[in-house]
Amino acid sequence: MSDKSKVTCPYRLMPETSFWRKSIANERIGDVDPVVSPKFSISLADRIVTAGSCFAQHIARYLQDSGYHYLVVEDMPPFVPENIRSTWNYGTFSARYGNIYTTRQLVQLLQRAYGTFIPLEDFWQEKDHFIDPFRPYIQPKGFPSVSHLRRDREQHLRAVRRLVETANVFIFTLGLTEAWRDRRDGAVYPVCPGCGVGRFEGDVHEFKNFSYMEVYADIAEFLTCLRAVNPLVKVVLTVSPVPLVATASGNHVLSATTYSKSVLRAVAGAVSEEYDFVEYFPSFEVISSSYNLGTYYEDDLRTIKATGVDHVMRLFLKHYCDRDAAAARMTTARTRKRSSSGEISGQLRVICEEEKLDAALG
Amino acid sequence: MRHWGKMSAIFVFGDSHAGTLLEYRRLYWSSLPDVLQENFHVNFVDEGGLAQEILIESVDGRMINPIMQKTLHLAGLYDRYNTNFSCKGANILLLFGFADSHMIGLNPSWEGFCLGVDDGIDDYYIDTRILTETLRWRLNKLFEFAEILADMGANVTFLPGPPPHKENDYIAERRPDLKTIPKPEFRRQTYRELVEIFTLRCSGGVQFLNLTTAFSDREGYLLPKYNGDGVHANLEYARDYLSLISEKV
Repeated sequence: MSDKSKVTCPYRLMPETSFWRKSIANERIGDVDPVVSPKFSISLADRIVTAGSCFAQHIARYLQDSGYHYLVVEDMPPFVPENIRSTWNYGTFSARYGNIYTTRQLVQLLQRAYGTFIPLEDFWQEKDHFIDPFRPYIQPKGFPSVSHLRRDREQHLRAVRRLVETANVFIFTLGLTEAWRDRRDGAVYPVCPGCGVGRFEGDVHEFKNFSYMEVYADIAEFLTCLRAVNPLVKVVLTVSPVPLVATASGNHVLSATTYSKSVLRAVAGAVSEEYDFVEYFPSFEVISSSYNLGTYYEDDLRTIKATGVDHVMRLFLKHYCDRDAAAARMTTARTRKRSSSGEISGQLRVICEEEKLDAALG
Repeated sequence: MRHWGKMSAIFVFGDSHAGTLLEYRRLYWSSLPDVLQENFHVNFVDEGGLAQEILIESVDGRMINPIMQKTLHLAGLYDRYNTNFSCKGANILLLFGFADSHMIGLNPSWEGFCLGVDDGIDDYYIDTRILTETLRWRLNKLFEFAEILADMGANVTFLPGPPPHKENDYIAERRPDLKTIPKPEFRRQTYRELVEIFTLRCSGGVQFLNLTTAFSDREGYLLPKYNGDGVHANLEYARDYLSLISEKV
């Protein structure tokens, strides 16, 4: 009979990380570390891609600054200066898909890339330019013609195929459960048509708030598709700690945020339990939990401060990458970032289609 | 050679295209128009990439690239030891910025790109406006530099490089050092865009002397009689170019 069988209270065998007082209440905010037993590590040679909600851009930026192989498959030629490159959203994401807020959007991106889904909605026409409904803010001034839009989209989807087939690590940040979609074919948009871009049509567009089962099924389908073309890829799931800008659910935005994040967090946890190549990384907990007394949010209680992103990425690099090398690179990256921008307040710029809703409604 | 005090003189500063003018001047000095035999100075500065770095950041602001500083100093237009300009009244002709037509590839509808993106295809789509913004950005420092000279009292004129050569095989044969050569249409389109940027941007104390039509065929390529190594034109081009300068400056 083993010693374990004699234990009267199983908690006595648990590590310090199992106890709130030891791992939270007694720790400084910046030292709280909820990561336990990572399943895999990431090497400097691994090709890392990111996708997801606005928060994914922070991860992308830190990985690039830290010297890891952040894979960008849809980029500008080297002679294009950085300010123009970023204005046109080259390098903001691994490919120019813009923010991917929902898991359905992610699945449909893969389906579109491999030609198994062709949405009925092809483009939105504005006064003198054309918008891709599935990445409406990817071009600062839209496309000059439909043929330009289609050509760019074709190139983009080709890049997405290359991305999913060559990545070693795919980091996806789950953002929302709420979405607007086309009633006819279920195509999900990153923004609500008519709110800043496009035109809302009640008989075509409908609101959808995805359930736990639907999000779970989407992630499972995504993983199946991904592994079918890239059998060795590893996946890291995170949940965005950024609250909803607005809800169309009829509930209070606070309740809607709680629902959305709860579903996403629960699915991410369940999926990482089920698949050995999927890891859940707790950036959501680090930023949004009560232990930090809200210090990682700006005054709008929504925007994440640089100190919060620092904390998250310090943990990410510590647990998944080489600790010392990562720390050194982080310091260098921060110094470089601040000296180049003259920034001291720690505001970080991210592209967020969702926030266009606020602007559109005034 | 110093030319202190000859402020009505004409000075050409440029990249390898200025080298062609310099070579012609060296070989055929006596056949030059009278006006170009005196008070006319051609100065090779550096290869074409200098245009993008002609002003560089220093701890206390921007400074002129030391290579350009030295060339201006040797021409007697700038005292690099005391950082004083002495170019008031001088006619300064700048022959920079057209190297991009050999470095950037665009398709005939100004919407593609073939160099530097590992996409496995040669018609990578890039929005026209990105390339226009990029070319403008790449020339910004050059225009700033010209404005500095103009502020110091010089009459500044930009000169164009030769129109692009029509055939890539011709270039490849004579310039094996070029790893990739954009398609002719790409080079021509970039060249046209450069001419347009210079035309639109130059005003006031800075002029653009558009000599391109004198050297190009109906399609916009370099006239065959001026063929040099595919990137640079020949000495006949240099003769006619200098002749036009003598008439127009």
